[in-house]
Amino acid sequence: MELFLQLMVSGLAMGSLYALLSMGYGLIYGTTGEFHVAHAGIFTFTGYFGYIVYEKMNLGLPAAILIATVFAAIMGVVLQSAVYEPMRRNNASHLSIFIAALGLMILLENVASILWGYSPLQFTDNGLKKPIRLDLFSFTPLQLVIVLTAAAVVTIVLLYLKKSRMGKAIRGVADSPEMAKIIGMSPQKVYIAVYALGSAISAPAAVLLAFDSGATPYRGTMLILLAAISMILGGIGSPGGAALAGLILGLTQNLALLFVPAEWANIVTYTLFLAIIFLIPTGFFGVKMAKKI
Amino acid sequence: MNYLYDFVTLLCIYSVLAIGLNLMIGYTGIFSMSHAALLGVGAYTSALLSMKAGFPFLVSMVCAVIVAALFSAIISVPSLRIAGDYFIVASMSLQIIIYEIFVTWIEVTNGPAGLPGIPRPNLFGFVIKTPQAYMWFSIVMLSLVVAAVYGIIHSPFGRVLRAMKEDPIAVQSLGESVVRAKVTIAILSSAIAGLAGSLYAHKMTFINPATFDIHESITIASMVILAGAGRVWGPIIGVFIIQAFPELLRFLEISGSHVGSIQKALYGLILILLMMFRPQGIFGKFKDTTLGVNKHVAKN
Amino acid sequence: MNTKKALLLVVALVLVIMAGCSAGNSSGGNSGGSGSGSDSGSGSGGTSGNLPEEITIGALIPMTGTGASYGVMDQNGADLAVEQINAAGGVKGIKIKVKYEDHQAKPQVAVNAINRLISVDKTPYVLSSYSSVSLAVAPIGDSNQVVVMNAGGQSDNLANAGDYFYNNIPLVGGEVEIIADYLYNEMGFKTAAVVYVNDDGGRSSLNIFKKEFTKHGGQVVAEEATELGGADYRAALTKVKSANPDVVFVGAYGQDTALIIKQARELGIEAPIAETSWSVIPDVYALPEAEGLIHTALHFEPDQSFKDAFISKYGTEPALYNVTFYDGVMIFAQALEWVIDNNKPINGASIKEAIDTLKRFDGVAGDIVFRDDHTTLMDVDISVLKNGTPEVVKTYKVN
Repeated sequence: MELFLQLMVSGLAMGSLYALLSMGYGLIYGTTGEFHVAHAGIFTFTGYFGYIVYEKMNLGLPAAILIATVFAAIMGVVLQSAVYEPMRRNNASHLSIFIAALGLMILLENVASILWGYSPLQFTDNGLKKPIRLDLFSFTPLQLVIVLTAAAVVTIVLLYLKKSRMGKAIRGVADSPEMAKIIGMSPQKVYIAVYALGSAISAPAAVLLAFDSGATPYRGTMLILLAAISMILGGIGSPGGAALAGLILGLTQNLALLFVPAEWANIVTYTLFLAIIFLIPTGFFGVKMAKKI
Repeated sequence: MNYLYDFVTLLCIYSVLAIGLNLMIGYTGIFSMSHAALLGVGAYTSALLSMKAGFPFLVSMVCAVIVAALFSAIISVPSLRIAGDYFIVASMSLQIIIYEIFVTWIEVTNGPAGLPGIPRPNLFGFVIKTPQAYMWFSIVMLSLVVAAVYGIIHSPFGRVLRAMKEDPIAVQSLGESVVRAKVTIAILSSAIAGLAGSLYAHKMTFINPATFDIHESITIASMVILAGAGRVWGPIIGVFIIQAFPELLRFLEISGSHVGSIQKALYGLILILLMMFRPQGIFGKFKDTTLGVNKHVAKN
Repeated sequence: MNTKKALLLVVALVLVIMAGCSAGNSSGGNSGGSGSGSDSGSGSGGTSGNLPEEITIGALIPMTGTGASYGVMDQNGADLAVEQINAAGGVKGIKIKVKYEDHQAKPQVAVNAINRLISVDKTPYVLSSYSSVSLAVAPIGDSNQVVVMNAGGQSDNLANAGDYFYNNIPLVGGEVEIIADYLYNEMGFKTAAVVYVNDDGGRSSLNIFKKEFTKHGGQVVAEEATELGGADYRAALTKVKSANPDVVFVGAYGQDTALIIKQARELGIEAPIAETSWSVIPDVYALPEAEGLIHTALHFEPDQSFKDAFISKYGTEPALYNVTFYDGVMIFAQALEWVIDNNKPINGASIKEAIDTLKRFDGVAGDIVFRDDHTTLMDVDISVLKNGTPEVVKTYKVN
């Protein structure tokens, strides 16, 4: 029982981080159709932004998260405007944009390592990592913060997407770019908003993850695959689905150890993904596939 | 000179792989993320059969081709029946699962420690040992593959493929045969990957899972996209650019502990620039193959 | 762009590469003497009357990717050796230069890199790291008569990997046997859990530890794999905790070890933790949670001069790979000196002959003695970490 509960704790915490990462990534892909793997690079940089604010400027963790989020949003907008927007105007295919995003991801990972080196940069613990030991399991306040933050961000974003004008425009553009014009917004503006929002959603996760295990240049690259899978599992076009799928994958990765040794955890997780996708090709909340060829 | 021979050899082997992948991505519009895994399947099959079962090289190679095709069939048959876009997801899963099997099934693959001592090809008594000999061997194999693919593209079957890519809905009226065509191409493409795998294993004499992970699959896909779909031998240029580029960077004489990162950063930058200024690829006539669900189809 | 332009591009690139190759061929200044125009290693270059000014040796290290921080350690070690040698005037007046190549932990990249080192940089001697990479390049060293000195990989299949292939780093088996024996016999631990990194080195440690610990009568109650450079090991550690071992043996490298120890303590694992000299890095030593860590470490020479020189250049204590790469360069220097003294041509074949003849080399952590299978054993300390510094509790001498 203790094993189960403890694995639930670590699964919930990591799952929450994956949820935020996948939601941001999924929002961007669902709306634009662009497989923006450079999201990994932004995620990595955000961890470092958080480090700088917390460790070098000594402003505390909440400030670090807020400021890093703002920087992440800016970075997302700058990158998409500098690289993707010109390509869109050039009628580039999504495949080409994917390769450009890949180039960006590689560039960002290596610039980060030139700037900050390869050893993990650790945040000085302010007590959040001091474990609280209960009878059956233990957890750290940091893990609690992670889960609560993720829950808060997901809720806020879903509300925003549902109620606000820009949110509706975003969902409209996901269906077709013409929809945005009907509401009175240019698709370009929506793209900017989506990249800003998508990068911002994953930012708290980046900072908290860096707080937990240190900022490294390859952090984002290692997790982006999982984000892509979560997004597909959750259903393309459903940021909420992506978040839920991220959580479930995090839980699976951890709970799998109830049955198999750690080295099998990945196989279990990915096989489960494959099985679900074969049963429900559109993922949890995805748009129903109309084509049958 | 061995440097040059080995460079050309690897160029040929990866070109075989890329040309096979181009059949799917370029000519049929199906994006596959599993080619590095299939390369690995071919490599491990050929290596293990030669080493453990004592099969002669040609037999091992043929088996590599067949086994790779079979692995691909596992996912192609079910997933191409649904819209072609789901193949991407299935192929990604196949890639990951096959890679994990390479790493975890220690009894067979020896896991991360890899398989050293793979024997050289022995063709009817002649052992292909020297880098120069292997280079010529690979060039010959590449030419055969190019010829075969050229034949496929210009056959009636190939015309169906191109029609499918241009206008799938019009071809939809043909019904089942479209699915069968796609599955055939996927299997052919994977068979070619298996062939490349066999060539790779007996060239390197050592293989381990690191060569066959998803990052490699993405790199191979980049080579294909970079080249654009226009020519059968186009992917060779794509492979060449991605392989040669790091070599060129050496001559920039950057020193210091950040050499590796600087080289990779420049590589990323070049990819970005190439895609920005020539998005359709060098030979490009890349139709817009969306990576995922075609959301512009009506929701039911 | 059409076919014509594409072909032009290709031709241009090919010309540039060939230019690079021939620049390496014809240059005298850079590494001359180590072979004639084409394949190096077997030529008859400079003999003692006409020594080159500088010799280049190669080093295959991970410069990017999750293992890159170890590449930095490799470089720092080698660079210090080069600096010291050249400051003293070089080896018989010949300066040494190291050309680093990134192997990215991928065999095909490593093969390309060593080919380049041999053909373009004309290196007679190449340092390598990572077991898989070393195994992939060993045959190339043999066929080109270039010595490959593995200073980083430690899996046991590196013994007898090639005529020209040597390991100056003790294979992990030796240290693991020692610590397994110590934990069971001297500390009285009956059950152990193993946390290992899922690569060749980690698996080697796991297999040998299991064999040795159970040989003495102990029981391995859990074995859990971890990912290199991962962020969260809590699931694997939770399983370890539930198996309630007397001691936890870790087979992971430096930075991952630090995270493993931290998260293990966070989860409430109170059992002592043990590891090989992979744990000997500042990140681990500085960790308060690592208090009491039982580990093997190479036994440093009492004169401390290497340690002091290292600390004054880099500001941190030397870790395992700093030492082995430093030694790797020093071995070359000593071999080169023998080659010149014995009037042999400066090439890989002669360096090999020097190594096989001398067999014993000065290393900073004691003598390095190459055995018939081209491996070496070194004196090993068992230390316990107290307040950030290791306290030696036992020394196993082998030479």
